[in-house]
Amino acid sequence: MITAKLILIFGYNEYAKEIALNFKHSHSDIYIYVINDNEYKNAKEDGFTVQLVDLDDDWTDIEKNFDISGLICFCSLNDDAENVFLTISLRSQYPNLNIVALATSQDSADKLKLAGANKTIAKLEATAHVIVESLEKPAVIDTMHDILYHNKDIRLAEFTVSKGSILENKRLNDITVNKEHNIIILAIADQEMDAEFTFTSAGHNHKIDADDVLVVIGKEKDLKNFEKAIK
Amino acid sequence: MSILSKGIVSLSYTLQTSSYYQKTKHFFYSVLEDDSYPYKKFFDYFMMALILSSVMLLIRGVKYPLSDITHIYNDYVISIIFLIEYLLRFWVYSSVTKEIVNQFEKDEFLGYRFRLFKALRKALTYKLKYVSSVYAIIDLLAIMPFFHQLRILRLFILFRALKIFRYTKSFQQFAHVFVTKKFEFITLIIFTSVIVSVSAVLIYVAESNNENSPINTLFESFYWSFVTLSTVGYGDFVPVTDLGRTVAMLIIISGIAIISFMTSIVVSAFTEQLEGIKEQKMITDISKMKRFYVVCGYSDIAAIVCKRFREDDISFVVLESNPDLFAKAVKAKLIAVLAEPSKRESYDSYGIDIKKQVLSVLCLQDTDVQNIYTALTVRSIHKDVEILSYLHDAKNKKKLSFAGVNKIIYPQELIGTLSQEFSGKHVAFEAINALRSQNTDVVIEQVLVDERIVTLHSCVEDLNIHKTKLILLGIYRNKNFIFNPQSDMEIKECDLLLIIGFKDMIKEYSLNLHKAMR
Repeated sequence: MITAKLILIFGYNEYAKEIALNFKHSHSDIYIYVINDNEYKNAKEDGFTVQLVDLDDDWTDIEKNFDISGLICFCSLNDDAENVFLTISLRSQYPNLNIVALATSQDSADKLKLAGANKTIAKLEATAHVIVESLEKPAVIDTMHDILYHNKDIRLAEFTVSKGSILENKRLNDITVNKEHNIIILAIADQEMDAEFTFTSAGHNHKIDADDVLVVIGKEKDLKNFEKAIK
Repeated sequence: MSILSKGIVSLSYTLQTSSYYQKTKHFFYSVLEDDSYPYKKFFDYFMMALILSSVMLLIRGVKYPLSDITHIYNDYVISIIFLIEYLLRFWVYSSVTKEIVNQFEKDEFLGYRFRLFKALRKALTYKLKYVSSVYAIIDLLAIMPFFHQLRILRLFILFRALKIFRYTKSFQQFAHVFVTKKFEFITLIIFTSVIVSVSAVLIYVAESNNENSPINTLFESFYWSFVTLSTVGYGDFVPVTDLGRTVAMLIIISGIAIISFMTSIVVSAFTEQLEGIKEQKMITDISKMKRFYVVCGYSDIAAIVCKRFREDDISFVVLESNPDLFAKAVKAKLIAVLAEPSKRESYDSYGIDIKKQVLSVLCLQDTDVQNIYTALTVRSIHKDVEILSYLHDAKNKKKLSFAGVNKIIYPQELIGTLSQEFSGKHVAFEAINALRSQNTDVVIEQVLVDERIVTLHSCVEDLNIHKTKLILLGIYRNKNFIFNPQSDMEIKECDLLLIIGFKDMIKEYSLNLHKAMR
């Protein structure tokens, strides 16, 4: 699992602020680039490392200041058009940079995707989705939240199947080690298929190869035992 | 008080307090008169079928003799059913016993002697009001063919066709439109009558003594006048004298004016009433809905929520006070009403019963001020209904909670939390994210364990989920999550099974849980 060490956020509105606050505990290196004085002042007041930049920049100093491979950029400017411009500028300069862009609607999110963002979050759609899910499936929302953010001792984990593992060359339906350790295998990412993941409940009796990634859910101690067992 | 009065009061009290009597009366009232009663439509369809069959038999009977059975059906069966219906309507229209009890209690309170006849007179007035109503008269006339010895009364069968008005709402609305333009129609009728009369007399004077003229009688003059005025002009009677032709020219011009006038009255009446008719239909539609969400405001976020609701076949009603946004909701073909969500009357006037019908109220208006105001209104109507509100500014969060909002959605916070999922190439997060997204085939759903499921399945093993491709992630019980439960674990009513799999498969599995195992 590769987790970004550095977080660079463009813009400092309420969304950017929440993103920064969410990473504050896990990432000590959070940098904010803003394009106006007001946002500069607000970010400074909140105690973040902030720099005033120009959208017409060629962004060469990003490479100088940060390690691109461990950097994740959040494009959170207020204006969708500016966000698209920023994303396209960053992508043209850094083909491998991990860019997450915020869009007002799905329509803008699609444009950001075309502009080269790795991930996009359509604010309206994401919020509407949560509203509907929290009304229709409150138990699912609660449980997922607890699993994702480790509020309970159950958590999500991913294990790469090593060469010589007891799982190698076995069919998904034939393995029992997960049941022995009270683990649920949720999905499998097949390296032979460009690391695309498929859900186990989709019903394919997948053949497990070395380097495949298993996405599993279980209790902390069971996960540790499971990891040992599959080695 | 006389023995008769005593007996009547006693009987009235007995009937008024008899739950069986009241229930029966209420049932018949619902079937006959209450449009919101779900089974009324079946009764209406049945009656319409009777009417149509009766009219068809009348038409057939004109040229072909009817068999004895059809005679019995048409003259007795249908007539008796209509008679029963007439009597039932007469019964449920008002309550005689209620009038007697009210009068008795009033007189007791004032220390008067019980005035039985006053009570009966009042009760009778109500009943007479029913009997003299247009519908009741038509109903009575439709029963008439029963007395088939009177040949002329057989024509009364046509009143059965008129009876169909009672069972079709659109006819009633059509009639209502004409009632609203009563003054204009009366003016038109008077004007037409004057023109017809004057021109008929003139044409009679001009033509009746002319040998070549086909118009010889006053009746023919009136007939010609009416046919010409209506711009139909059959041509069977034509004036031949100069005076008669001059009258014809004048009457043709008047006819065009009258037809235009009448058309404009009808069009304007419909235009004026259209909104009212639509609103009435909306009220009926809402009253028929069982459980639904109320979406207050049709903001951008509300539009997307409504779209999701529709995709998932979830019932909802939109309340929007801004005409432009309301028009947008109507254009999106949603059940929307133009009403202020923060006013109590909005819910009352559209028959929205928050306690019985509403699952949750969603405050999705454009400002926190509006959302707080709406939340307070809804909370004042019902203290337990779930309220969800969109929060625009973090500093108003407390105010929303204070207004009684149960769930607050602050998008900035939400996006902040979501952003953590993108902090690297994290397959696990991607998988979970895909599960929660509506764009993938595999989803995570909650299935409620109801009384029937508990009766049929006692433990997790019995659920037989291991025989399917579905994954039981866990059981959600009393707000606690039991992960990957053991096969011998007992299942309880109100448990929620969190299941991962294809949406349709989960749906089918959920239905199968309600079937007894073979």
